[in-house]
Amino acid sequence: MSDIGIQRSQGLVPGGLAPDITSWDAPHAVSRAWRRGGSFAVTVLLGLSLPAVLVLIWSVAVRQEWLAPQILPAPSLVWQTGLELATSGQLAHELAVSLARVMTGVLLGGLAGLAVGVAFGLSRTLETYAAPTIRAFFLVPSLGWLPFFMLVLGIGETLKIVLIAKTAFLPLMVGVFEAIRSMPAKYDDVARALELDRRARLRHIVLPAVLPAIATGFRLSLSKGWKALILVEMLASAAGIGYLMMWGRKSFQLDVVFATMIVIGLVGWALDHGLLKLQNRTTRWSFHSVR
Amino acid sequence: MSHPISRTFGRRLLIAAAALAAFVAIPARAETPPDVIRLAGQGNAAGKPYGSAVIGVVRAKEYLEKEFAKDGVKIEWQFPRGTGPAINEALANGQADFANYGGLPNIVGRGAGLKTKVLASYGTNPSYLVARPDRGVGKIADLKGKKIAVSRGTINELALNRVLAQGGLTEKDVTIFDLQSADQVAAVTTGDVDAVLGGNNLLPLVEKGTVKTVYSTKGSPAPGSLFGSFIVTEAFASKYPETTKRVVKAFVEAAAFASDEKNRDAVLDIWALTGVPREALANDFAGDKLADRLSPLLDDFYKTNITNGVTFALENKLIKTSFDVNQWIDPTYLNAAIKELGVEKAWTARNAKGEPQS
Repeated sequence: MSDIGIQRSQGLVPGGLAPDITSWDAPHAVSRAWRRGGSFAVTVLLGLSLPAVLVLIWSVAVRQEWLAPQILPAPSLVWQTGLELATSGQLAHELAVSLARVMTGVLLGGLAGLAVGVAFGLSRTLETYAAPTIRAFFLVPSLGWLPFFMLVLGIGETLKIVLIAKTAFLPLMVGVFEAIRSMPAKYDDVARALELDRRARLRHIVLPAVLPAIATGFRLSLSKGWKALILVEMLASAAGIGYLMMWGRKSFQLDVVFATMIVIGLVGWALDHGLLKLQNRTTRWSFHSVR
Repeated sequence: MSHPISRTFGRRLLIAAAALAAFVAIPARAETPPDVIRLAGQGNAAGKPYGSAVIGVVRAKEYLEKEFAKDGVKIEWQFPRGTGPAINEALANGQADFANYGGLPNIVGRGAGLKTKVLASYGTNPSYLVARPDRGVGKIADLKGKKIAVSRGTINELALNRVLAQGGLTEKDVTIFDLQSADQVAAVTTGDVDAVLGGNNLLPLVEKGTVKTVYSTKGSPAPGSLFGSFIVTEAFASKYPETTKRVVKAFVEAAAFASDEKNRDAVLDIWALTGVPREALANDFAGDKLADRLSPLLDDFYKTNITNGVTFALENKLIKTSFDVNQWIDPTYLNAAIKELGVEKAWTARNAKGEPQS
């Protein structure tokens, strides 16, 4: 029962932030699809069907002029603009800037969140004293912190990194904390039976047990960090994909805005998808143990 | 009662005569004005919903409200914080009939296909390039490698290009931070950016000593001045030509009032409503003839500014195709209003270089 509990918790653990069914169901489907090339193609096609429908509706909306053409550009124009941005190297440049920012921020914030989550998970005293404050602090949305951060940190790189780190902190902290707390009592029994000391217990019992939660938390951190980055780049920046989007809006080129929106979405999806793969690899043990 | 038919007939005749009399007496009112006239103006640094320049006077002295009071037409004002770019969005959405905003967003909006007509120039304002005194920026060329804040997509972006060119620089030689007025002040105060390019809202910072003026187009028609237009949507102008005429008349009336030197104190008071300190405005206008700054004329000076703006927008891919400036400008309303009000002497047309035309 407890083993199944872990497998489930992988998806549900991050404090109800985003109950994600695919995170524990997908590995089977994906690996099977990989094995059989045909069904992989089917998966891809099915995945692309909704975007295709959306583009179709979009085209109709443009043709019927449901919105002013200055506001809703034609898909072909957006495609062309996207290609221009890509071939001129501008897109790659802005993306590189943005990705470097999000990686640094998520790494810093994620590691801090991980450390604090483990500390709270292991020490009830610490949790009682500090957890409410920390949670309240982090539950104020990034946008709410922005004016203050801007005054204190200025509008340079520090602002962006801190804001992303702040956003990335909570999912990992909560995820790891909950995972430790919901760890089956059986594991503690094992630790006690083996007379493991605190360090060995952390290394051999706690860490492997919370690994799925870390992976899920990291994924959440990254996708939230990515969104926070776009936000801050739109408000105060001199480079980055969010800046490019804002520039498009300011220069009344909604085709640039749409093209960057699509890129932001695709990159966000690619990051999430890549981490999902990584997550499945790192946590495969928990599925093997069930079987 | 005895001759019901002839009485009815008589009444009908009376009504017909009255209608005819009304028609003959006020032929100009043949058009039914809209229920509401919606105007948008460029926003302000302090975010107060009042305008500067002529449109600010139109609003504060309620020229339009008075003109249309008898028709029961409501006048709706909006001064969005997003300034020019936001006004383009409002026009595209059909949320504004008239707009008064900077030359670059004007051009970009028209280039993107917004169907508008230029009714009048909104005048010219100097741009100011200010820098922190501790950053060693004594002249424009020293800006190389520096961080400059500017509100992109507005006329200030074009002004920055022109000002940098005076020092032999381009945008590639500096790092541009796209910030709105209030954030520019914060950024240069904390030292996050080295310099800012903007309008008179930067002058309080100069007075405080936070920054010093490196370059300004004040007192000269040098390239890099802030210019713009008062425009109407083609849809509105073709549906309500008479109303458009009356709106332009109110605009010219306000421009004439504001261009009269004896009203200097009064107009400074009006512009101070925007939240820019009155002293800053007084300094901004000190030594300049009001009529030079607030001229609504669509003269060669205005046309040259716009034409150069179109070239800039094309070069920087802000617009994809060029357009004929002369097709866009419609001076008939302006000329009619000037003639009707008898204010031909209020302004002197300027040539392409900004010198008075003889």
